[in-house]
Amino acid sequence: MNTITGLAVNNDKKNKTRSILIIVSIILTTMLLTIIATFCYGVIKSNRTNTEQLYGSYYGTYKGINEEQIQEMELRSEFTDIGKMAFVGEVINKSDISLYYADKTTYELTNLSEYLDEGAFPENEDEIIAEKSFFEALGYDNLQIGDKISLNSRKDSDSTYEKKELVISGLLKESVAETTKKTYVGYVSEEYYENQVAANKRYYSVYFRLNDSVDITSDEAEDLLKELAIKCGISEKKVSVNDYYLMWSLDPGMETILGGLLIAFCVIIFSVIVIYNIFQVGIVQKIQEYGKLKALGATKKQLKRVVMIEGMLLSGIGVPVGLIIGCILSKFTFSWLMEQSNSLRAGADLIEVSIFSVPVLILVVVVSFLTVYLAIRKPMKTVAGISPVEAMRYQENTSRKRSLRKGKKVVGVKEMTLASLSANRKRTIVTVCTMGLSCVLFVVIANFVGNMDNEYDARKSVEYGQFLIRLDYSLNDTAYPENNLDSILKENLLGTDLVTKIKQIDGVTDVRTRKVLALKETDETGQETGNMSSVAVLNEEDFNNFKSRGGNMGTLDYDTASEENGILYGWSHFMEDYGYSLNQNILTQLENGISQVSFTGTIQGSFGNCDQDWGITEDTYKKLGFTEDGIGYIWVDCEENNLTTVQKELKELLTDKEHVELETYQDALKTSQFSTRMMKMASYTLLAILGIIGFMNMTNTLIVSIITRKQEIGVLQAIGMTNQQLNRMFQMEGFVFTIGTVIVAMAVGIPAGYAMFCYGKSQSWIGLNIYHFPLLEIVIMIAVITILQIVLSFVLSRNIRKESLIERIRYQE
Amino acid sequence: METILRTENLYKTYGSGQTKVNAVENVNISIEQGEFVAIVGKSGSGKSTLLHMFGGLDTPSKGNVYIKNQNIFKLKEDELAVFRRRKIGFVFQTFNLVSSINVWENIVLPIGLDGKKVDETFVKDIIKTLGLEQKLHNFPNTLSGGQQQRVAIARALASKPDILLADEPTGNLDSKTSDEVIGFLKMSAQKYGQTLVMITHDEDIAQIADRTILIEDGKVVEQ
Repeated sequence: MNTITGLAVNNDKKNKTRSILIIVSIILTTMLLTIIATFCYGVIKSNRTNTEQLYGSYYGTYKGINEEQIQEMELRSEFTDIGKMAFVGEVINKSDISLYYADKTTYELTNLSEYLDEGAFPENEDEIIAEKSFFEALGYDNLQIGDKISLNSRKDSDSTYEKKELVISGLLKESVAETTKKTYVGYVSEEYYENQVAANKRYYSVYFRLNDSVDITSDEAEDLLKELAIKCGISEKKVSVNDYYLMWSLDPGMETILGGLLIAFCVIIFSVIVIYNIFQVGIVQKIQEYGKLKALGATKKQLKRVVMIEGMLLSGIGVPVGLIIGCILSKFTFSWLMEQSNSLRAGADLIEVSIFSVPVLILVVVVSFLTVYLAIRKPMKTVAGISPVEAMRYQENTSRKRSLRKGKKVVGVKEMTLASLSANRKRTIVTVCTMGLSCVLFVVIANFVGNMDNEYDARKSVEYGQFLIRLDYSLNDTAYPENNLDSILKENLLGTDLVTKIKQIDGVTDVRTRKVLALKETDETGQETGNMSSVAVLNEEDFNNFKSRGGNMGTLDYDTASEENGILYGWSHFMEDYGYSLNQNILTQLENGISQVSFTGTIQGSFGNCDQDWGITEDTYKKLGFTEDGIGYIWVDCEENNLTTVQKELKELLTDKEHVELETYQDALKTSQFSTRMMKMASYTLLAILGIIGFMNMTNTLIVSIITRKQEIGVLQAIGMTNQQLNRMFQMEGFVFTIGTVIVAMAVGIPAGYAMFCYGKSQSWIGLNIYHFPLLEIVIMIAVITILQIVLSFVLSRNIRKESLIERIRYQE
Repeated sequence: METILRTENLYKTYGSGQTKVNAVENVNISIEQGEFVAIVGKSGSGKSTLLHMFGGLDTPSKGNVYIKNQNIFKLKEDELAVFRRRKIGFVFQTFNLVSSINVWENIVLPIGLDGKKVDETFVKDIIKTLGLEQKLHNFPNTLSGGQQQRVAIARALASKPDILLADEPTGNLDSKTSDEVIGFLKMSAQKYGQTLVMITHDEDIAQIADRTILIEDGKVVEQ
């Protein structure tokens, strides 16, 4: 060992606290970098491997094309694996049940073959395969393969329902998403389809892959698939791209890599600041030592080398340890995440991949060492630049420009604390800023995650209470006009007597209703001119709720709409497509099942989405002379613990009623939670990582601020400061830091978080609807900072007292 | 005359067995009200350790220290801190002023820590005596060594302690300034009727004391 290395080793050994702090920082940094890198690598690799499992292996689909067009496709060499799928018919039922035909290639390309639980896919005309819940919805329990079922189906809304007898050829695995959605699909054979639908009326969705020789990237995929469609005589409107599959199978995973790099960059910046801080403080304390070395003839280069070796020795311990801990943590969390997503999915489990790659880990090691190098660059310069004479009498506060201080008449603990903070103004500000910045990211994420509101999302389906009973109707069913809204309204299915009965159910706390009208446009003579549409009758609360969710409402309020007999379009996005415009007068006939009223209304605005084609106010409804009938929605609220019994009774009340659906808030909530869970999990993982960095930073800052004042504290105690007063001084300082941190975190984090929320909302990220201030998260953050600061101050003030007063007073002698 | 400080078989031992060193060994001395005592000895003779034990900054291995008949090592840690700020004034070789507050604030700090009201007339009188009137708003490190030590003396006197302990107060000063500081120290001790115990290795300074105690290898060899 040469002299320089020996010096560095001894310096590290002697400054034990500093060395431990730096090693811990390096371990944490390397650990975080390892986790980030292995996660990115793992996600990309896992996505590539599992993309077929998740999204199917087809490049795209052409929808609604005929057999000739399929033949065109088959002639072209670009296409391989062409699979057909066709809508066979809908089944009469309370739930939404449909029948499809698909061929073997489609089963393979869409992974349906992976879902086969037992039996086989249908071959003969009378065979069917579906999930168990499909048959349960039809009223069959405990079915086996080979059992017969019967159902009423029709191929389109112009045909009549026909009773069919079918044999179960196989059962599919249950997928969670579909049970909560209450839509079911059964698959039948080609023969069945061909017998049902005449050759000239057969339209298919075609799933296909492209030949490997076709040059395709995920960005250009859509254009290319459209181009090919046109060559086969298919309209480009019928093209749909399997984006996810193409993205993962053709893309290098740039988004994941960029995201990872961004987080890694933040981690590195924090670590550089933290490690730099500890080193710099250590060097300022030992500046005389380095000055002596210089006086004895050490060159600049040699001094730099001492610091460099000090840093690298510590990295030599910290980096491997961090790498190992990081690998272990990644392995477990990644497996856990995979398990979680598997438990949420039906069908084939995700293939677990090895998330470790030697080049990636080597990169992490290099970056970790680089981080330390960046952190010690400035300390190296400081040491190299010392003049021996200056170093011998170096004092931390020599740079102070002010030489006078107004001061206070009486000086107690409080005045001492404030004086010390203001005298070390630069350090105070740096401390507050570094601590504040590590909290900024937390606040930003909290703004985002805290606003993913499942309940709000679910309330879009079930607006009030726990249950929604609604009419299930068509608007233009020519074959079965009794399915149309005007006919259903006449049945008065959701009449006041039903509402009374519901109110009497044990446990029901509130029942709300909303009326629905059938609207037929007419000409001046009262002759119907077009299709029927639906109208929601809104009270003031509903009106304002819908208004707040976007659309084009201007300053229109409920009272104006009532006074001026306004009518509002229900889907602002489609208004122009349907040929309507603002301030247009429309002549209509409105029906509530009992009476018909001619109504001329002015289109005064449009809601983003009010669930019906049109909206009018409750006041307008009354003015038109309608009675209290025409209820289209009933919301039922009850205590949480009565949910099952109320649901049972509601089902009983509705058993015989066709054209009535029952939705539950809990189901809606589950569906929403299902889709946001993964998103939240990822964000909270990130929050946890940021929490660790914040903690590391804060611990360091407090330790450093106390250690550097060891001597001064000794002096204060010598002239009579009690331990209690000392503790109070630390607490007060910490309090100032906490307040400052919170202010910085809020001042930067809230606007940044709000901006991110707005961006996310404009990009339709899950569950972002209304901005709520993330109060809970911020209160938790403040509480954690406060508690940590109190505990740390306490521990440190105890720790510092371990050294005797005399040792501390003589610290710099 | 009243005895202000008294020690009883005072020992301070470092290490054990073969490496056992007696920094202070069986010291029995007593100092009367108003006395100016110089403790003299070579470097490493144990005189600083002895002074630190007088002031409760260091704890003895054996024996007791009484200040005005109060056994100071019978006090709890925080009680001792309170006792120190009320009864003992310290002057250190390295001044040990608090750098973040100004001269006035440094002087009244022990009183402030005690939660007492500052006797302004008294403190201003000390300041005038020590010639610091012009420097009250300065930060300590903008003053010369001699001025800083005068501030330290003012701080030690401000709380009207029973005894003033000075640990080589001139160790960091040139000879001219040393004489000046010692002059101030003696003058103020006399003016305010203070008992002064001072460590020094300077024979000349020791000469002006009422009494000299010589320490060698931790033992009192001459009183």
